[in-house]
Amino acid sequence: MDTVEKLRDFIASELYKKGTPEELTPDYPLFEHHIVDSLGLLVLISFMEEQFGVVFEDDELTPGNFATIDAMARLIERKRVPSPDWREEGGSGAWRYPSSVMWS
Amino acid sequence: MAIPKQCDVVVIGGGPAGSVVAALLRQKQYDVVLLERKKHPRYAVGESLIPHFWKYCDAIGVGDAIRAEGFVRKSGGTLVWHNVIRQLAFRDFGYTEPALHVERDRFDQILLEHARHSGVQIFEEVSVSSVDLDGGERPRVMYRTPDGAETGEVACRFVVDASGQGALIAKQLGTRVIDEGFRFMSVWGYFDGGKYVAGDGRAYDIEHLGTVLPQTFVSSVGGLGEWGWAWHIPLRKSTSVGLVLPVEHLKKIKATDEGLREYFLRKCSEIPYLGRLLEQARLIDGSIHMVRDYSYRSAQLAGPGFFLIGDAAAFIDPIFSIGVVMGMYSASVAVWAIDHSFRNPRQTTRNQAIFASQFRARLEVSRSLALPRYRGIGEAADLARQAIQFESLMEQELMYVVSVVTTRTDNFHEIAERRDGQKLVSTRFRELQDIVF
Repeated sequence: MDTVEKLRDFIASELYKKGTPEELTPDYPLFEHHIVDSLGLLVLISFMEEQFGVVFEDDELTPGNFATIDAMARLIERKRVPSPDWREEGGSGAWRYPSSVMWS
Repeated sequence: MAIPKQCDVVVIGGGPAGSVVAALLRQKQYDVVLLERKKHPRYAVGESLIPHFWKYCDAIGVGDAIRAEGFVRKSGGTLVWHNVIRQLAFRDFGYTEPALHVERDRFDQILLEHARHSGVQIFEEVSVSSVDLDGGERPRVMYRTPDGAETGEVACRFVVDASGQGALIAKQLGTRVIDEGFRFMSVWGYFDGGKYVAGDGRAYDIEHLGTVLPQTFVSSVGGLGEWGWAWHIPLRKSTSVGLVLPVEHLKKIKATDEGLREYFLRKCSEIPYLGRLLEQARLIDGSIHMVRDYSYRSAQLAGPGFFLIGDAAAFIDPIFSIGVVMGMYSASVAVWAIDHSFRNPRQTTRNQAIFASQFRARLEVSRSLALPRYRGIGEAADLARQAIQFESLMEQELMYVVSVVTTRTDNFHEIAERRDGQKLVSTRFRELQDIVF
C-alpha cells in the first residue's frame, strides 16, 4: 500500500466513520469539509509519525501541509528524503535512517 | 482515602477543564490525582455553553449524564448591537443538538463525579500552595487542607494547572499578564421571573422555558462606543444577567451615592429590550457579583513538567460563551501531548510546543473576535490565520456570523480569507425589525 492509500484508509476508518473511503480523493479538502478537525489533526500526526517514521516540527503543522491527503503524502515524502550522507553504501538503493532521526 | 505520595499526573482544579483532562488521561490508563480547593457543588459564573462542548463530553462519556440532567436547552443567540437586532441558530451551522444554559455548580459537579467514576483520585477541599517544578524532572505539588492541619506533597511526571482564574502556576512563575486590550469590569446578578427571547423573535414568560427554547440574549450598552455589553441567560430557576463595562466605570460608580445594586438595576433597565425582559423580574437578594481586570493570559502555556489549560492559561472577554469549550479543547490537546511524552520522552519539548501553539492560536482567534478593534499583526495573528484554516467552512461561517452580529467583521477578515483570496461571508443569520413582547 502506498502512502496515499494508507492515509486514506486510516482517515476513513478512524476519523470519517460516516462516509466511504472512495469519497476521500487525494485532493479532497479534509478540514474544509469537516472530515478532520483540530483534534483530528493531532490524531493524524500520531498516526503519520508512527506509520511512516517521521517526526514533525511544530512549525510544520500548517494548513498547506495537511489540507488534503496529497499534501500530507508530499510532506511525508519530503521528510523521508535524508541527506546524502546517510545513503547506504552498496545497498539496494533504499534509504536507511539513523534512529536519532526517527525519535529526536 | 489518603492523598498518594506520587502519581503520573497531578491536575490542579476540578472545573470543566480539570475534569476533562483527568478523565481523558484515565482513558489512557494514567494514574491521575486531582486536587480541588472547594467542595462541589460550588458556585461559578459562565452559564452559557455553545454546542461545541458536546463532543468533549461525549469523548469522556459524560454526555448522557448531562442530557439527563434537564438543563435549559437553547437554540442560538439574539444580539442587539447598536439598535440592530440579529439572530443566529446553531442548527443552521450543522449542530443537531441544542446548546445549553447550565447552573455551573451542578454542571461542573457532574463532570467531576464522572472523572471520579473513571478512576481519577479526586480530593476536594485541598488547596495547592505551590508547585516545585524541579526543571521538569520530578515536579512536586505542595498542598494543604483548609484548616492548615494537614500538609503534604505529590510527586509526578506532569502537572496540569486547571486552577481557573487562580492561575496558580502562571502567578508563581510571574508569566501572567493583564491583557491591556480588555480593560473591563463586570457586574452581574440573578433574577427571578421576567421574560426571555426565543428564536422566533418573540419574548416569552419564563414559565415557557421548557416548551419554547430560549436564546442567549446579548446587547451592546449605549454610550460606550464599541465597548460594553450585557448578557441575559435564562436558567432553570433564575436568569443570569450581567454587564461588561470599561473599568473606568468602576470609579464613576464609587464616586456617586448610588450603591452597586442600584447602579446595576438602573443600568439594566436602561438597555433596550433587556429592560423590558426584566420588567416583571426581581433581583435575588445577595446575588450581585463584581470583578475587575479579568482579561489576562500567561506568556508561557507549557514548560518543563507543566501544562496550563482553561482559565489558568488565559481568560478573554466571555462575549461568545467560549470559555468552557476552550477549557475542554486545551484539556484534549494537553492529553495528546502528555500521552506522547510518556511514550517518547525525548519528544516532550516538541509535544509541548505543539500544545502551546495550537492553544495559543485558538486563544488568538477568540481574542480577535472579542476585541472592538483587532489588528492582525505578529506571530499570534499568523497562528490564528492557520487555526481558522483548520476549521470547516461551516465553522468559519459561524465565526463570520458571530463577528457580524457584534459588528466585528473587519476583525474576522484580518485573520480569515477564502482559498481564492476572496472575503469569506455568510448569510446564515437574520435581522429582526423588533422583538415582539
